[in-house]
Amino acid sequence: MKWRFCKGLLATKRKGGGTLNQANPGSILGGWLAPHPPHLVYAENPPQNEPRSRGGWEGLRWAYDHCRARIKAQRPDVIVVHSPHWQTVVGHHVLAVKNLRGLSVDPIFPHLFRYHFDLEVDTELADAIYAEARSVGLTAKRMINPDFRVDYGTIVSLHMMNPDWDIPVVAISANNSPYFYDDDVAQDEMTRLGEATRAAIVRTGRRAVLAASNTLSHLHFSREPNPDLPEDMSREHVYSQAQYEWDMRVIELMRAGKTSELLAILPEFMRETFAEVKAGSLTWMLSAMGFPEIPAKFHGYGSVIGTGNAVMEWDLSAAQQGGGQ
Amino acid sequence: MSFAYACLVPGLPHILAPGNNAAYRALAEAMVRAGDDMQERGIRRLFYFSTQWLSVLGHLVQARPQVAGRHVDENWHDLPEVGSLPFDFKVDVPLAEATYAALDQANFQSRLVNYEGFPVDTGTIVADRLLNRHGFAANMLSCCVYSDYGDTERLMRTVTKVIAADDVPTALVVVSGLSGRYFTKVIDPQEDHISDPGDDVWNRRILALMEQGQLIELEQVVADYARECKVDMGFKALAVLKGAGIFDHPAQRQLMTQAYGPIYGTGAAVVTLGP
Repeated sequence: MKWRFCKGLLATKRKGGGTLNQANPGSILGGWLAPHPPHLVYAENPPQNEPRSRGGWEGLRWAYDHCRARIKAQRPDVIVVHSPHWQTVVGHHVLAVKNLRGLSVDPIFPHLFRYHFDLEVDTELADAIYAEARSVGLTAKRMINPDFRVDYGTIVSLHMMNPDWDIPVVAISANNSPYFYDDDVAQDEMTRLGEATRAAIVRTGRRAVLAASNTLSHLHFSREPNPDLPEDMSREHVYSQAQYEWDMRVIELMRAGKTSELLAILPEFMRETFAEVKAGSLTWMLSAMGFPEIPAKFHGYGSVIGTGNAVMEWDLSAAQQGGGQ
Repeated sequence: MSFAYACLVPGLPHILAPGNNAAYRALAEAMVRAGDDMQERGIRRLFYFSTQWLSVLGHLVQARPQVAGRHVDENWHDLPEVGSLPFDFKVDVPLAEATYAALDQANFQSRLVNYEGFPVDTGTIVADRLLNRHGFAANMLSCCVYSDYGDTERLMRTVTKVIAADDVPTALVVVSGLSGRYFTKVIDPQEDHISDPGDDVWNRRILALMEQGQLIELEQVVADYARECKVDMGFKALAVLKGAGIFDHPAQRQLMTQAYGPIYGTGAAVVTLGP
């Protein structure tokens, strides 16, 4: 697949309805692989999170500094995140409540993550993504229940990218079609969802940054290495050499801009490492960006309870200024 | 005294507002009857094992004296009438602490949970709203994704010893579906059915074997059943029931299917321990 700039996408025939913002069509500034272990927020000790820590996982946390600086420089209108920890079985759901506040306690790591969230949602874009998704034949729903507890995957990725929370967000669920169909069907759904997201961004005139809230390899320890000190870095390591080598192979393809090759090996990567990209966030994001064959910037890699996590950036705005490929 | 009663119940919220769907209504009514039955038998405490409360690093044990709030399911947030589910559990904290201690002693990694805002799972909330109209205490143990059949059986044998160590009549409530092949499109509830006819055959076969107490045969086929029908958590429910000793005295105690039907394409049943 060839990389296409977003301005070129304006010519794409739209089926989703609504009015195209002709004067100021939207664009995707870039996309981030933004892993979401709750340990990262725990280690940061932000005021929103109740548990306190002595730090830890600095290699990954500091990798997010690049993302924070880039977002401050770009000032996007919205950050759109796709999270594997909002799992839906009937279609793709889009957060569409203007303001959501509450306490999100991670059901798996409640001792690490009890986060008081306060989200401003770009509901116009959310509604547009919902409409575009339906227009391409996907089952989609708007999540409009004000009591909804936002999942930790969404919160962790967004917090690590922009701890000031001063940019509106849109969150999209991970439809678990990968677990009902084969991987080809699932990734096709995510491809179409990505196209729908892109069309909605263009139509609403948003300058958007995307976030694929995915870990890479996902086999992990079956026991907490040190329950008395979760941030004990002397007990943190990759789950296995094989898993590490898979992660490096995938990261290398990203760094080389070999997106087609990356997509080709994703099914094997998922099988061999239980890679969380199976949830579709990465495919969704790459699709939304037009499967760019541009080098992704590597900002950091680290393990969290053995899983492989990388912070990676596809800077479309820089690629566009440079004339593309 | 070990578990004085046991039941297997579904945990999808559709049955809380059944509307005109006869299967949903039958499942809900069977659960209400089971709760009444427990009351008549002198049950004072429920012990929930829900396949919807997932953990990955060992097991979690709910230990907050009162667990209350409103819950919105991540998938079923738009269900009419039950999109938001209020809940209010009174947990037997000494039992929770004893459970934790026993699991730790038995080399299961476990952790007590006592946090405001902890997201109790949909399955436990749905079950409790239908079963618990009599003020039973309610304890909860998580379902570790990576705990296999043997580990789960051993886990529940450990729990059962804890239950037996005090004299509070306790019911085991296993919240689990059967076949797990959901419809992935929006459906009219009136047209709900088991999504695959083969799943229906399998579900009925498994329920019949459970009623007959045919544990050996059940264990011979459970892996095939789990794989072919995408059964909820690989039908770990069977290991939970076995570990709790529910199959130990088939001549005296038998499982009986009180209701069976579809929920959004999946299989659901209310199975209780009789007579």
